[in-house]
Amino acid sequence: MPSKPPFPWRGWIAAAIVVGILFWSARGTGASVGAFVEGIPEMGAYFRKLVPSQEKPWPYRYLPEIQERLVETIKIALAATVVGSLFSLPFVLVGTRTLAPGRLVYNLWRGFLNLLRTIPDLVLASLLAAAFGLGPLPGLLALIFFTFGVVAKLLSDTVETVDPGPMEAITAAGGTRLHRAVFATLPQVAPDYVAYTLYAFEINVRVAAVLGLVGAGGIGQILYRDINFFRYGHVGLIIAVTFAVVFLIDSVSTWLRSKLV
Amino acid sequence: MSSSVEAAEAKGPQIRRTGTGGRIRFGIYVALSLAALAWSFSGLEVSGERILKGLPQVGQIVRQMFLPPNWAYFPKVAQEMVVSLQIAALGTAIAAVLALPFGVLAARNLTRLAGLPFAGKVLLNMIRTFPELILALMFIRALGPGPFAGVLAVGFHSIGMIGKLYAERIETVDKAALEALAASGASPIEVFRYGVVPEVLPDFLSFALYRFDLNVRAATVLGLVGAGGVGTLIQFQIGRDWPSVGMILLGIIVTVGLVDFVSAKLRARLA
Repeated sequence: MPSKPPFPWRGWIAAAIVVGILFWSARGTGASVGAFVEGIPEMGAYFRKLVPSQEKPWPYRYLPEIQERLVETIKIALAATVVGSLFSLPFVLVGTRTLAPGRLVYNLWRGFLNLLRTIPDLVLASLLAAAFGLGPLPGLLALIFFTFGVVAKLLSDTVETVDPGPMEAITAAGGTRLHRAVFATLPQVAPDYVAYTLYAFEINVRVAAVLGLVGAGGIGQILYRDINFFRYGHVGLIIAVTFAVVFLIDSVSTWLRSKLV
Repeated sequence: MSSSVEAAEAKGPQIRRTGTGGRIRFGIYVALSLAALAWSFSGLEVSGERILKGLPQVGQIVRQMFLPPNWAYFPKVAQEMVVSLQIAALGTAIAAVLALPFGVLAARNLTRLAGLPFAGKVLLNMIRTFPELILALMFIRALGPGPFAGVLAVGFHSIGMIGKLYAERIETVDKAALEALAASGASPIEVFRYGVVPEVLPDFLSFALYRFDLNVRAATVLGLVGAGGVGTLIQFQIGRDWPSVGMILLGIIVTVGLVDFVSAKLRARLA
């Protein structure tokens, strides 16, 4: 038996505060078990309507359009992943304490990265859609920003934890900052870099599937249209196919990552 | 294998062993990247011309948003931001509780049935992959628009990641200690209560806190489809009143930044 109780008194106070916040949140959002239970028949009826075979004729003719939009979705995610992660690579030179030219540059850059990461991807996408017009371009740009932010941060974090030996050796031999980065650091973090890229790709695929809801291209665009036109069978079919594809990509990518790092 | 990127992010930077990095593998990676780049840009309606045309537009929008933002809009933004935080808090709490049975079932070291953990992990991955915005749209159709639909969407979606992190954490519990407890006559529930819970609880809390960070971002977006929170205001003002959009964006950046900061501090104390 443990000698120390798992809940010290400070834990109880924290728990009470959390419970208080949750009650306050339930009031603020109008959430209640009663409303949920009351909504169950409604939800059941809605989900039944989504079954594609409920629609006559069965919307199989719709599959080519779904396929086309799904390919566009994957292209957006892939292009953003490759561009964003390649851009992030040189920035370890300012984002890492051991490689940055000075404390100030490092802090400024880290601050900027944190700022970039606070902007939700879909908010950015909807802003860019206003600037560039509807279509895949604003979605692509939003995901490039997002990928850049994620990979640059994770990569810099990793570079800070690598074995300093090779770097010291290069410094001792008269190597420059660039030499240290290219010959001592990058070979050590290469598998991590690939893993982060795959990780960003997984998120990008998931986000790209809903970009269309804010007018930024991909499968979400026809999903939103069909939801608004109450074409339940179409909606169900899109959701099922998209989910299957996204799940497959996600699983393969997660498996690859587990082999890498 | 068990230390995923999510788990690493939830725990913050830590010193770790160094990789060896094969040059051939990196070469393959570069070749694959180039091929991916070529394929993904083919047929995408993206051209340098369109980007160049849009850039002045971006500059103008940014100027209108922030020089100056509509400060008078602050009370409204604060009010809706609070709703977003409430959606995130309640959604995270629901998920943190509902994920417990999933986490236990998906952990390899707590069951003798070999198929169960695998099935549990696949199920959790499916939940995690299903986009919360589409969930939100479904709940809106069923329950009507508003933050409650957002709470349910966040709550359901978050079970996936939290459950997976729970399971991975339970799997690192020392098996010998559990066997010792069982040998001393403890029932399976007692083994769980005294062997697993005290060890994993702090990490479980930090997983929930980490997910709360992500959910605050998600809750700012939900309003774009009508599921409550500050996104409702974006949906309403975008393309109409840029200084107000600027104020909303400032509100989001400050709030998300603060939540990230506080959550990271709390998680550092839990670790």
